[in-house]
Amino acid sequence: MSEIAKLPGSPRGSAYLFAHMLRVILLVHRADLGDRIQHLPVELAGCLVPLAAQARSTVEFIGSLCERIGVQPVVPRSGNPVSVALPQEIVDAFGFARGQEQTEGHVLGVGFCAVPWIDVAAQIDLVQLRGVLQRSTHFFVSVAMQFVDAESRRAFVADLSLFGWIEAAAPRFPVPDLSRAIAPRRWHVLITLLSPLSHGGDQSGSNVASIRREPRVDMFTGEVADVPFVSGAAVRGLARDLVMVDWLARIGLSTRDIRPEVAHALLAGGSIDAGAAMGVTDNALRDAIREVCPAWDLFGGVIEGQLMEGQLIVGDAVLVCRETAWSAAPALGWTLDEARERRPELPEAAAATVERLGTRHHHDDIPGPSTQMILHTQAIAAGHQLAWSVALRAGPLATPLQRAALAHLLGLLAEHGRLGAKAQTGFGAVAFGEPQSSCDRSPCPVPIHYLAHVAAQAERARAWLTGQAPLVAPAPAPAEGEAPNGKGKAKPGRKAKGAADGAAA
Amino acid sequence: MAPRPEPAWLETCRARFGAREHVSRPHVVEAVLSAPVAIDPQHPIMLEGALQCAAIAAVTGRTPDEVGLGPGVFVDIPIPIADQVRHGRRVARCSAAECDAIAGERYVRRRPRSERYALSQVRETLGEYKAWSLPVPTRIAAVLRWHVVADPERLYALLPDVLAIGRSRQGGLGHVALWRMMPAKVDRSWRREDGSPARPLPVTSPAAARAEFGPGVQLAEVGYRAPYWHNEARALCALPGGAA
Repeated sequence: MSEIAKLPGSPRGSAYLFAHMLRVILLVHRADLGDRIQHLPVELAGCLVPLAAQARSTVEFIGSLCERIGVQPVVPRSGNPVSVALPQEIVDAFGFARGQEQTEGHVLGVGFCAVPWIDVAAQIDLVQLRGVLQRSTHFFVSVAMQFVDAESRRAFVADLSLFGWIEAAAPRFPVPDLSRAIAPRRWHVLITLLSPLSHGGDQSGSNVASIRREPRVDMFTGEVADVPFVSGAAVRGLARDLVMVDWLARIGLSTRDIRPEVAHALLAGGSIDAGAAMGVTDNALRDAIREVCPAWDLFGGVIEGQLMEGQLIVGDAVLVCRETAWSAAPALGWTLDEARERRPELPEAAAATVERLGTRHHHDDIPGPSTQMILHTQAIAAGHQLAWSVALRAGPLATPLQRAALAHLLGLLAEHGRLGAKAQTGFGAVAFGEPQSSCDRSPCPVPIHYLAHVAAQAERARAWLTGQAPLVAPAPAPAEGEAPNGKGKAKPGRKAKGAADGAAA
Repeated sequence: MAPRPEPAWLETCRARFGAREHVSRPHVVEAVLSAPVAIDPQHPIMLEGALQCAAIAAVTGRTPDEVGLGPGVFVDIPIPIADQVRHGRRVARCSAAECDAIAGERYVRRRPRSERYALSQVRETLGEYKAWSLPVPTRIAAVLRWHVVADPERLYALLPDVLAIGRSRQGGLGHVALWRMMPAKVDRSWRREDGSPARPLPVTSPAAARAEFGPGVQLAEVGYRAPYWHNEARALCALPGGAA
């Protein structure tokens, strides 16, 4: 199959048509744009992704793009719709009518046909285009701003190699055999979005707070797609906050009633202080902390100079879409065969995001320079679902207390009903589904044992956190001048560099 | 000095998960990944460490630090992968992970909950309350593949407890959706088809390594046995080229 014959229906074909249509629209209005043309690249790079995400069709996208630039998709003097001159082979491949074949006197001449923009737009797959735009808006801006003479333009329009990066950027893996596979022991949870969900991406080059995406391999096709997700670390951080604040409330304390370094450990995992006896493993102290605070046993961190591992393994919450049908199957309650069969029912990853347009307005009654700015937020649209999993490292040997603590945590997450960023502005309302075990037949845990244990340990925990009594009897002090690990000299009075300023409030 | 007594759980671990020589055969183990795997650019992705953690959890229900393991003493945790002595060192018959992969990066962030602390001021730019956002190099791959000589029955029992591979696995990276284990006709656990090392293999000297593996072999002082970070498991090794 020739390179041109592969264009229709492919991301490369959609990108080719869009890039040249945008180029022609800018070209015919070049004179009208005046000085604005200097700032147009930056403006375009910032608005292509949000406008494409908002539009319901390519025609609507082109319309809103023209409106944003302040032009119409018509030729200024004649009022005719803008036409895109394309090589005849490409016109034939896409099935455009060859009625307006160009002759010697036309701009691009023999071998090219002029196709009205609306016909071109109808052949562009918006979902594919969104995916390619997210990879590089600057590419499209550069192609669109190529104002070259007619002869160079002929070669430029016919050059498909410019678009080769699109396929190179979407590699394909061999499809693995998923039969006779063993699934690790996990609880899978389906999260349904009740409002758009925002979770910031790693890079931001414009006034759009983009959604976090990562390439994921579709094991049914071997293709790679950028899939929106909420990182497991973010869900873990939220869960940690909820369960630790809840634990403190249950023992009658708040985070401000306890030592700041302990509050930091409970809520953020703590930090290794300079001078701490990190080489000394105090098993009595560790066991006591795990006993008095079962939630700590799940998350771990650094507390009382002890670096401790947690039992909890939290997965990413990944959009349930065609590309992730295979990995979302346990959360959906599907077998792998069902997932393969039913994956066309699911949305495509590139079609699941929306853009919420926002403006922070300038207030005339506030003195000083204007701080007005436009800030758009990309989000996963309400109604979509995320597949999430959680597991305990102990697996079947997890104690009833550990299981109950996990159950309580899942309950708190469900009760909180929020995930991701910008919750204050209506983002991230979610409903957590019932956890489903992937392979062990154990029933979903319940939190009763955890609640009873926390109540029984409350007094001991309060005494420890408020400094009234240590958790365990102090070990005999090392000989004077000797470090706790018995090697070398201790450094007296050494404090963490840059430790918090100010006295305890 | 008398040797330290072996903890009871280690004996149980050996009885349940130690590789039985008479049944150990070449196999290929595949991890089908549902998330990118974090890598250390200096080290290939190995399987034995993850199996050791899973074996400890399966026997004790606890994490390695809870059962008294630490940097002070090197404890050889039995796993269902056979060992062989090479230049006086016991080396697992397990290759480094092979895969086709795309290079990626994920930022792992932490911010202190400063407003919740009983402090009048919290400095988040340095010190113990520092907020950070660190890039973790990752590989996006469909499948990680190891060539092993293993006790299949015991390995099959242990794999469901290996939830993830690589670093940052508590927060979503390296999650394994499915494990597959297939018998292999040829043992490629130490050497690839072209004779190059399939895993870090201890060597006696650079000259001996070049004589054994060819002039292009890469050498470094690295861990040759899990836990790979332990000082007592480091030696000059011939490294596998192009591993994941």
